[in-house]
Amino acid sequence: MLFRRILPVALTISIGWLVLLSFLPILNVPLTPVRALLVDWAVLLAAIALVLGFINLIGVHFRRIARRENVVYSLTLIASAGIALGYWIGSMVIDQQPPDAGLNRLFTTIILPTQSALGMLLAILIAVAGFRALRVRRTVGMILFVLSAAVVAVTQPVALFGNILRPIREWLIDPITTGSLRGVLLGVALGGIAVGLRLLVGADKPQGD
Amino acid sequence: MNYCPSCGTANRDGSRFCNECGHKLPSKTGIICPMCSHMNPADNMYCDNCKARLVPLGPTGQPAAPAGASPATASSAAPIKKPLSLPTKPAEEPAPEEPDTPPESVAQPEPEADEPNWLVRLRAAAPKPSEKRPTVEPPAPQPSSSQEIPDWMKPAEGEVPDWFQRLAEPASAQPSEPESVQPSEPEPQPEEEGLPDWMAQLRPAPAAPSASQTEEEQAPDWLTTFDTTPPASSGAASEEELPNWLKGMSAEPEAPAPAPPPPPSMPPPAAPVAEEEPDWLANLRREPLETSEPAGETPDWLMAVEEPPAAEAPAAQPAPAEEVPDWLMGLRGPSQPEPAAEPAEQVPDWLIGAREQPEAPPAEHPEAEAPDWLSRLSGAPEAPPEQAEAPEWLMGVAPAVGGEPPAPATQTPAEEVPGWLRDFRIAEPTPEAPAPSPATPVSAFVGERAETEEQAEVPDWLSEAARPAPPAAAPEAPAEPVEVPAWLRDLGPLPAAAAAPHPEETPFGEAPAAVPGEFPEWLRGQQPGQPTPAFADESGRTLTPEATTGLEAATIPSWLQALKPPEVPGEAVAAPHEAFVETEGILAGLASVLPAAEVMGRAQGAPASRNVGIPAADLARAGVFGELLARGALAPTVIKPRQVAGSRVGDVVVRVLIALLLLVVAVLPNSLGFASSFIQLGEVDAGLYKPAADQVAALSEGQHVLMVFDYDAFQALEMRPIAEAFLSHLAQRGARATLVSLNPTGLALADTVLSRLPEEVALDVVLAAPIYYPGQAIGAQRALLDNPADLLVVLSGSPDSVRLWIEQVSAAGLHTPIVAGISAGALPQAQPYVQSGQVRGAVAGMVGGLAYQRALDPDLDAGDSGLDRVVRTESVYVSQLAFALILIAGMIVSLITGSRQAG
Repeated sequence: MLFRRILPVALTISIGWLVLLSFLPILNVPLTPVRALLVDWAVLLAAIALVLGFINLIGVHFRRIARRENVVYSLTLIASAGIALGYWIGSMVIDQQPPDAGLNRLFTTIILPTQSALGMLLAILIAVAGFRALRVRRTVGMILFVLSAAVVAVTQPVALFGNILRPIREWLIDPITTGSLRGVLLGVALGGIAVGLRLLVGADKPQGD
Repeated sequence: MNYCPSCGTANRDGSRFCNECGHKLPSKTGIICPMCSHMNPADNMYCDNCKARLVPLGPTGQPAAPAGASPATASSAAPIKKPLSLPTKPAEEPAPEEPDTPPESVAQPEPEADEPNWLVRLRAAAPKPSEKRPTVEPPAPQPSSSQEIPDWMKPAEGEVPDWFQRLAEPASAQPSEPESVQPSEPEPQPEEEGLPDWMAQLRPAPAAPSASQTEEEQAPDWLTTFDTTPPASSGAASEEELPNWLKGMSAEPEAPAPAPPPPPSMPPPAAPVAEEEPDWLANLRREPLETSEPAGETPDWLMAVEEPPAAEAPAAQPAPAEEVPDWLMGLRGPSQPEPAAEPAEQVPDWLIGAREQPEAPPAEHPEAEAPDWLSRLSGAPEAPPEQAEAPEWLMGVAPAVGGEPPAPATQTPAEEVPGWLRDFRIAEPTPEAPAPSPATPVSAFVGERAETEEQAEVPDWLSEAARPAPPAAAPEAPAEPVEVPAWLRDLGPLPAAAAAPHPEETPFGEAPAAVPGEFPEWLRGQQPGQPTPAFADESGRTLTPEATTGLEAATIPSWLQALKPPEVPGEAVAAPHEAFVETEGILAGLASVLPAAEVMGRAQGAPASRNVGIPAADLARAGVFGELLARGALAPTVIKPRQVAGSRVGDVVVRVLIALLLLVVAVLPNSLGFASSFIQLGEVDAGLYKPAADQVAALSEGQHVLMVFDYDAFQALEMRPIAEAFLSHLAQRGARATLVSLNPTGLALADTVLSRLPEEVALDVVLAAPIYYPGQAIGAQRALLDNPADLLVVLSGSPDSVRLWIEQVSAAGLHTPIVAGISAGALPQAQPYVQSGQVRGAVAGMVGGLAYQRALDPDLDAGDSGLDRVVRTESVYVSQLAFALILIAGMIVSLITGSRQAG
């Protein structure tokens, strides 16, 4: 009861108030070192959490293999992780290279092209979705079509009809798109403030039961 | 559970259709409880709802095989579940003679521990079905009984009136009525506890079994002793109407004075055995009833007022001194022994020893305290007035036993005489009237009545009561001194005026010389056989026999007719329900129990009716629904695209062509090193890189720059020119940079950028290897605190990272200027930060990066490496332009084709 419910909530509230109070002008000086220490501990916890996440991921996929669920994908992931880990260890042990050399090579040769290709597909998928939207709702589709075409044309390295389309882009993107996005961002910020305050007062206990 | 024959689903009992498939479930046979109508499984012995017995007992007393039980199960050796039964607890005082031996065919249920005692005794005393009405045995003497006579009924010592004593006249031996079931009796007593001892002694000796015995069987027990020769036409009174304490009171035929009727509140005594009949009852004899009396008009309890012969008065069991009051003791004849112990609650003390002893002068019993009226009843000389303790109203009630007129009663306070007795008059025996009946209580009160049918205007039960009992075969034993209760004594003698009514007022004609008590107006002066004159009831209405034709022509209710005894004397025809003796269950062995319903034990498997009266509208809807179902399930609407001939091939061709085009556009220029002047980069907007460049240019040598690589791998191609530009510019300025990343892949991206720079540039600028800071916001703050910098360069593919760094810089309290290198797609979202001044400058997209590089090195495109860069850049531009054009064309085609399909 103490270590499962009371202690985590108490630590969260106390550390949160300490960090928050350290930003006050009056308490900034004495609490800044405390805040720095707490931040260091948090960084360590984040790093450990990354390692634990990786271990948990491997365990989850092992259990899936045991349950005969999506065996191919789980095996591919586990094999990839094993190969990468082995290559990294081998590069350090065998090739006597810096620890990051092997990982960088894997990243450059495998991760980077793969993600680039996926990025390109993302663009095509968005375009196809726009085509289908044009079929379902003709009015909304027409609007989407016109605006998309204008933006695409203007954002080209070689602006096509830049003199005509650039003002359209500036009028459409800057006020409407940017304004809408900033409105969303404001809402997100306010929600973050509310969540933070709830955590500080103990209303939310995500770390406890 | 009821399992579906179609799908095997278990359905709860009572379901008619399967809950899973809707198949009709077979109706399970079961047993319907007759008590609560609850359907029970066929093999149940008792109802699951009310615990009533479902399966009757068999002839052997064992439960019959359940309806649903298989023969194998029924005949199996497994013990049959025994029904709930009463413990065969023996009676506390088993009777000495027990003629009621249980027949072999009827087995008493085994008693159970929880069976009440009263039921045990009742069961033991109940007659068996194979027997006719057995003779009732006198109750066993109860030395100590928890049931005592109420105190108000216990007369004081020496209060037994003489009249009561004279009532105990020897009567002919009459068979005692068997003790029958007394359902109305709150505390039924076993047979052996029927009569208290004091009454047992008073009861006359039972007469020889005669033809009237069967009739007596039907008469209430408490009156059986009063009527030794009950007429055949007498109505069969329910035996339960007769209290037990009067059952043994059989008046002797020659008893002159009838004993007063017992109070209704007194518990009926058990039917005494003939040999235990108290003497006083034995003396209560009256003349036999005429057979001409219409049947059914006289209740049996009254007909049985005739007392049994006193000779057959059994040796009454002496009652304990504490149970038989002294006043009642005096009522008994001298020959009568002390009554045996008996349940005191059965016979009131004031009736103890109420025997007629016409030959027993009260003077022989100095302690006798019978009132004068009772003395007249018994035919004995009157007790001296000062000794008369009986009320005057009772004086003279006793018929002229032996022809003696009743002595005039002394004055009795009118208020002390009960009203119902106030007008009672005992008519003097007329010459043509038969001999007065012995001193039976009822006859004493009713007086002499005509015995002919023509005199039936007077209720027959009344006339029957007044009919004298048959002469006793043997003289009654001398009555024992009895005690007259105080209330009776206090009544005193009747007033002279009431005792001697005016002849004209007497409905019986010539009024007797002394009529004790007060007769109601309608009865006063009424002679047996004479038409009842008009009289007034309590409300003052004048009623006449003719007016009250209902009285005359009243139809006997059916339930009363059922109680009618057989007309043929001696023919024992018991009522159906009386002849029925329960043989199963807790009531086994008891008679007069309504038979169980015929449905008991019979399996009820008839299907329920489905006619529930469905409205016509619902039927119509159901019919429509049925038609729809008959047609078959509706196929879901499937919108199939129009398949034009050859359209499938055309779609494939178009897709292939588009793919080839993209491939050519993307690969061919770069592979072929195509560079043309078709695509002119032109002037790049300086705003895309100028502000950021100025910030970097403001750095002096040796200043520290923190460069953040916070973009994804698929943005690497776009962000690489920006990163190269910043690093080159930092190298030119002599600043040192620390490369950090909040993502694990940022380190690799940074390393990729460094590998493309000249080695000397990389070594001069970069202080150390890139560092990974986990925890996003916390890592950013940690990085800012660990690496204080003069400039923060954020290379990010999304505006969120830029915002994060902006927030952390503010949170850390730093005032580090921030410049951003952002992708073209995120530029619109990051532009507000630039416009607000939070970001000093931003380099947007690949175009901005290339322009920034060209601004740093105008000769960058010169040479082979420069050409290579240009070709690759142009191929990128061409590919991007081609994709854009294809997308636009596709939108147009979709718009057109969609319009055609919609049209």
